[in-house]
Amino acid sequence: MNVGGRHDTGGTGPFLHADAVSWRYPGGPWVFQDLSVRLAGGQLLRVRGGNGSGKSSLLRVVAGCAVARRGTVTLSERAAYLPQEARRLPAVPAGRLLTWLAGEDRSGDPGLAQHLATRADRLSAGTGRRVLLEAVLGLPSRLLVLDEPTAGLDAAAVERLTTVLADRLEAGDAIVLADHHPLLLPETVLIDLGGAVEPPALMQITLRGTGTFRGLRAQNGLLRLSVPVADSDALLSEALQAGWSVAGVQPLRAPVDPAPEPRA
Amino acid sequence: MSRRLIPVSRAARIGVATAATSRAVLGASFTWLALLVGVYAADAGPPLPAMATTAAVLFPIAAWATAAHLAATSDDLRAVLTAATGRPVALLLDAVPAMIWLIGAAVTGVAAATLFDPHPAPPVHWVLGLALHLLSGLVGVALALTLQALRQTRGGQTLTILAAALASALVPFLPPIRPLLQAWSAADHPAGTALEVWSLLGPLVLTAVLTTLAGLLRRRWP
Repeated sequence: MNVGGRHDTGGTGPFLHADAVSWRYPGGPWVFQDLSVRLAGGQLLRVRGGNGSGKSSLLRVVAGCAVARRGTVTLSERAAYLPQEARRLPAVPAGRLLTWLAGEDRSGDPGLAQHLATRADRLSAGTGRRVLLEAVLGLPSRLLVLDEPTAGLDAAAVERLTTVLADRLEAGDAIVLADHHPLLLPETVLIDLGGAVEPPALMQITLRGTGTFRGLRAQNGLLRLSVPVADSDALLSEALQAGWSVAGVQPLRAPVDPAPEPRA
Repeated sequence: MSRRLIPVSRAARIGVATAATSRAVLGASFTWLALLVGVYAADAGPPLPAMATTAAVLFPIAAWATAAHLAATSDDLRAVLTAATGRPVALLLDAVPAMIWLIGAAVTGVAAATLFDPHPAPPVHWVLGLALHLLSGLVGVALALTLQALRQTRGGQTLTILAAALASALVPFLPPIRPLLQAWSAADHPAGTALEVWSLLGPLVLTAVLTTLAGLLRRRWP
């Protein structure tokens, strides 16, 4: 999949600056090309695309796990990176693994407390990912790179994660996120790597009012939310009942330019 | 780039715990012990040539142990650690459990000679024997890191390790096996100084080359 484009979130002092980044596996076709993005504190970059579209590769390049074939990625600090899976965890208690990674054996996820004494290699795939997610969220970095963080989470855990990430954004942290089932988070910059995606699109809903809604706080009287199209009616209804007025509803499109021809 | 998100001492425990609990290195460990039993079951001759022989064999066995440990390590945890600590430190973290295994194997190799070789030897020979084991095994560790960075299958790694051991045993001056055996395996026929130096320096040079190659290859895989 060839994707080219420039995505500028504005703001100052970018946490992440990717300049004309291209990637391909050795001997393979280009997965993405000439991708540029600047991400400042308090901003969310959402990477969208179907299976095999290159989301995980892009996130690994952005997190510094691999070096772009072309272009440069500059990070203000090391990234707290959550990979797409948590396979073959070591045979140590999950709490100990959490301590080694994040420095403390307690978890902010109440659903994990009962599993901390269990060996990490005996956890279910979903619980293993939750352990890794908690560890990554506990790392002292203001740049989070999360690959499918909701995979394996139940509804309560997704809601908690949404609140945690919203708080991190409000505190000025930057987040790069790839997710098939978009979390309800404001201020999204979208990179679309193409391919079939379910749900197919996002709606950006701007609410006018004060206070908080679904754990997110309005700024300057406005609250922007990006939600799956299928959820937008329910959210609008809930917002109107809560006393908010609707300032705007529009499809969220990826600002993608035509892909340039690959250079040899 | 700013500071590491996870201290090396803490991150290294993950790899050591994986090596200790996965049983991945048991095969290589038992093979090493069986080899020592085989060498010292009968009179192995003067200690230094005997230790040169066991040190030469430690090259492929250390590569085997390292490859088995790397295969048992979670790629996903490795990705988290790479992002949090940087690629060079992540490479070091992968090498730490292998180095601990190697030190244990080298000490065992010298201890076996000390305990079961009936011939006397000056203290310097024991020190030299330990160095030979460490240097030879070091090349094995670096070779396994390179093969893992190449994303070779386990079968491919095994074949490559065997081929490398064979080449090193046959090709003159190719570290570690041939120079090591030429320089130290015949106690009554002292080798030239240049060969002795190369038998010690060559493994270090090859380890540096292979480790650099592993670091470069890892950049290519997300």
